[in-house]
Amino acid sequence: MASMKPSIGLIAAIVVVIALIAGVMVLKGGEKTTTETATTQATSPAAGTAAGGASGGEIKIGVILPLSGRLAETGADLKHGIEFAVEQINSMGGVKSCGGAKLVVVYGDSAGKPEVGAAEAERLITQEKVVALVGAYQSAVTKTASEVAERYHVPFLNPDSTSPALTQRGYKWFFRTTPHDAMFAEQQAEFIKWLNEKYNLGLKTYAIIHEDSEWGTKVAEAWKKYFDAAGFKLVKEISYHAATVTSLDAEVKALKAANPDILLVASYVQDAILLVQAMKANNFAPKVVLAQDAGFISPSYVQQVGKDGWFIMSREVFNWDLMGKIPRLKQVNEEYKKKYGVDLNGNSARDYTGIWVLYYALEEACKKASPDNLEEFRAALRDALASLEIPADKLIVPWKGVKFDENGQNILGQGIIVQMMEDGKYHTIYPPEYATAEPKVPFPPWNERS
Amino acid sequence: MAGVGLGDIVASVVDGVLIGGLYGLVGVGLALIWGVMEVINFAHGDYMMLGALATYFLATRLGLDPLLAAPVAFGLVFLLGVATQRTVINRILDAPLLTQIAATFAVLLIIRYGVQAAFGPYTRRLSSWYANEIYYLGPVVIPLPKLIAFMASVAVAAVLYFFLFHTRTGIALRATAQDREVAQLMGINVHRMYELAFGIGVGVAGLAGAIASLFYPVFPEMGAFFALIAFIAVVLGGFGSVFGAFLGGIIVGVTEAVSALFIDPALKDVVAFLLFIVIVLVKPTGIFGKKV
Amino acid sequence: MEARAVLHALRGLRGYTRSPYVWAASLLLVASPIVFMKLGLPFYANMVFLALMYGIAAMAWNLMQGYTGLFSLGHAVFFGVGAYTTMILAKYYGVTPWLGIWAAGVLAAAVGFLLGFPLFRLRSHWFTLATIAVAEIFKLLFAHWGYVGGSAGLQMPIVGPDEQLYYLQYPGPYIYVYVALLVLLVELVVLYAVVNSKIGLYLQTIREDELVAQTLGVDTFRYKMIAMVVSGFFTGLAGALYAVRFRFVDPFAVFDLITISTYIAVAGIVGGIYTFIGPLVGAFIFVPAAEYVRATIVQAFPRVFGLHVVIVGVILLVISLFVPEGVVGYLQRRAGTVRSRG
Repeated sequence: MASMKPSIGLIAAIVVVIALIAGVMVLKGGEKTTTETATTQATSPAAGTAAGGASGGEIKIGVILPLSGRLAETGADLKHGIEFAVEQINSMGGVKSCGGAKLVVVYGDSAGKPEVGAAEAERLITQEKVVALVGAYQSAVTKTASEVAERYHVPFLNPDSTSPALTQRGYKWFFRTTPHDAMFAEQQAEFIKWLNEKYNLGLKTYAIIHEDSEWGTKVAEAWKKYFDAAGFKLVKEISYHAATVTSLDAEVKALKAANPDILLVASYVQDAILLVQAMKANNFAPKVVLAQDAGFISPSYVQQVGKDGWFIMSREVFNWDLMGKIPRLKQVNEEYKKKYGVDLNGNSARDYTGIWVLYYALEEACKKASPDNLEEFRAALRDALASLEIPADKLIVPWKGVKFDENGQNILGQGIIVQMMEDGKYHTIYPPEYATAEPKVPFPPWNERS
Repeated sequence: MAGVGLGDIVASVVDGVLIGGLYGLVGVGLALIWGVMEVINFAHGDYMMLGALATYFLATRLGLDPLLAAPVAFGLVFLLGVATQRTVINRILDAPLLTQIAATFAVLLIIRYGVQAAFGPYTRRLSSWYANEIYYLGPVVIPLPKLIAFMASVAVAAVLYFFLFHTRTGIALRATAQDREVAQLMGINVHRMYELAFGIGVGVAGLAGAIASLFYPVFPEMGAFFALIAFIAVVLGGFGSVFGAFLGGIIVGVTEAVSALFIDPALKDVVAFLLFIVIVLVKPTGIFGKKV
Repeated sequence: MEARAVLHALRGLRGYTRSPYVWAASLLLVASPIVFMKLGLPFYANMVFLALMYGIAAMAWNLMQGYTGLFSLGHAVFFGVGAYTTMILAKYYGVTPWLGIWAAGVLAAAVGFLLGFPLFRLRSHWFTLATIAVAEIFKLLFAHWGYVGGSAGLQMPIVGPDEQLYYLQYPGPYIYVYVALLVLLVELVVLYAVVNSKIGLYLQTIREDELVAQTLGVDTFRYKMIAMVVSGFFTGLAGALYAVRFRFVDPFAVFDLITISTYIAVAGIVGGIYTFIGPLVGAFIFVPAAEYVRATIVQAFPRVFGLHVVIVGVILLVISLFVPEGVVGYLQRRAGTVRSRG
């Protein structure tokens, strides 16, 4: 015990340092809130008096995205879509029924982790006092962040997560604009039937290869459900762990032995490349190779795969050749490209659309409540979203419109099917109203290619 | 599983041997560093990734054939290794285990995420004239890039063997590994030997990365899994044994490939890790025993 | 004998209560959630929670590292098992997390007991490597185990207001800071009792030289096992806190090599492994620093990915090269104390 005594003072000294740090945090935090309220107080009455009450202040939206970590590249894309939509809405006069209130976005970085997403949701809701949350891309993050929103009674608009489970939780404050993986799977089964009718391919059996995270696993479940219901026969299912895979040769050999007519694939980037290489090496060429976006539509894959990627089909939510089919899109894309130097893609287009959907709901909510009464306004916004109906011609995505069911799922969304042609680009082949190319079927054997 | 024929097994064994050569090569560098300095380099896989990335840039920017770029990549990673030895490893040679692991782990974080910060988190893929050559022998499929990678791995291991056993420097290196004090008394510059060992160790990993880039996509985290496998290979091979590690790598490769025939392929890594634990339980000195 | 050890520990800990600084710090910790709640700053309250969660795990980890010399980079195993246990008990069996947390500790300790048999056959680096491999196996197996939700993980349904207390579901991080403080209090007493008993002495003998310890007649296997089981128990509690706080678990979050296993070890190293309280202090330094760096870097360089991890790496490198005894250890040395046992 004798040796204890001097160290107590030291430990205490350390504790004091912590106490000081904590104290500074309290002060800094306090300062932050005061300056914030000061600015809002400064702007809203000033703006109010200047425009004679006709123009309001700001409406704050919280956005949670993976801005650091492994998916930061995607996060940056999503952020551009959101920024761009907000800019357009504000330059067109803001939310008119709220006196032209401007949209202000406060970002939260999830780092791709569920616990960080939840903490950011709490911060945005109680600290930043946002009227609604938008995000959060990875399904696991969307799960925890939207749970927080549900608890605080804040509308959560999810434009970009596709796990079907998200809209099976009975939440009242959760709305998803994008179609989910089960809807995609249903559409893919219909697409195969359509191929059979139109091109007389006689497709009967199918095999699945998928990575083993939640996404790949749930996609495979949905495929089995809808393909079995459509009368196709599963001959082989294989999963693998994407983070550690160094070769997919053994997997492809097993698939080839099962000899399916259709191969359904759910892969990320690196494994998609390995899969295509292994298929080529083993000359495995089922009549149809249909992927579930992700790796197969990532810019890295498209740039790197070369002609090994030809004739592989993928489900998509968006494609460049839709420009000619959706009048609004061409114009929006031109401005977007001017600003960011790249075309809109499936991610930026969906988050862009999400913000516009929220805007239409805000216009309705403002007729019922004032953003000054946060609780009432959030409830009004929720009701507005629940009864929202947006026609297809107001969107830049190939959907039939936006209308949410009682689980908050947009039932008018749909995907498209694209196929990489000999120009190394994906072309839309289905549904027919958006198609710009005839599908190239069956998938040619590897050794018969130039 | 029903329907696994002899042909499938042979084909899988070949697959496993081809990839195993690469695992082995990563393991060889690790074993060399451990053997000479008794330091475990947690950043080993990330030096491999640097080699692959260097090869990618040399090939795409300067138009070098990947196989010609590989020695250059080796040189670059070797120099970086010597620099690491002087700034970091030298300070932790006699430090407690914890400091050693923490420091090399910090190097891992700095390299892996430094590359992400400098070059982006993107996936890159090399193309070369031999990328599309594939040979068929009955059920056995051999893509040329993998064959080249395997032969290059064997060649590098052979050169290293010659260097360690038939050159003055190599023998001095082994002497240092066996007894630092005695080596010093015999006039060997021990610190020069350490620089050499660490440089060559990570350089060989970089070379493995260069070779891997022939058929494996290049991305910042690519070293993580190879490093884990290399650790298993080193344990299999008997800790400090350089050539044991090479054979260990091949054993892991074959085990993974063959087990994928019988169980859910997603769990083939579990088999590799279990193999590791079983080996250390049954024969804690590894299968092939001895040091360097 | 055990009761005597606990009494002894309490008496030892009473020494701390004479220090006004300890009182101030404890008061500050206890008051912090209320202060942050009043100010509407959940972000900082969450930081206190995370620092406590990592601190609890790091102190537990240090029983193996600092006292016994067993370097584990696989503590995510205990953390994950603890998180899953609490979640499964609450979600599938309606067991209140007030009990589930302790059950999580027990199960994590049991896992530690079983893992001890193979792992203690290994020395130094190879022990560390094996702990990484074990954690990877757990992650892969949980990702493929349907009962625990596979790779999708498990989320608690939201319960009504009358069940809030039973299921420990409250908005915001505030209440969970108190739950974590409760766990920390139990841990402080138990760990203090362990390290200041005969067991602690044997553990340190093993750390200094296992062969000598054996020659002195210490049953090294038994005492290493005690360290592992106690360490597993409290790391399991930390994992349980995660599950209770975020009401969600998935294998990639709770068995993660970097954000769980490594962060726990880094907190310990930063604070100082040869001190009793160091790892807790380390967590209170490392967690806010890492969060701060992440937040500012992302704002300053939105298109540069991963720079914040590089900075964490640099911090770790500098600490391990130049201040290997950690912050608390350094301060103690400066103040002229010999290496303190407790």
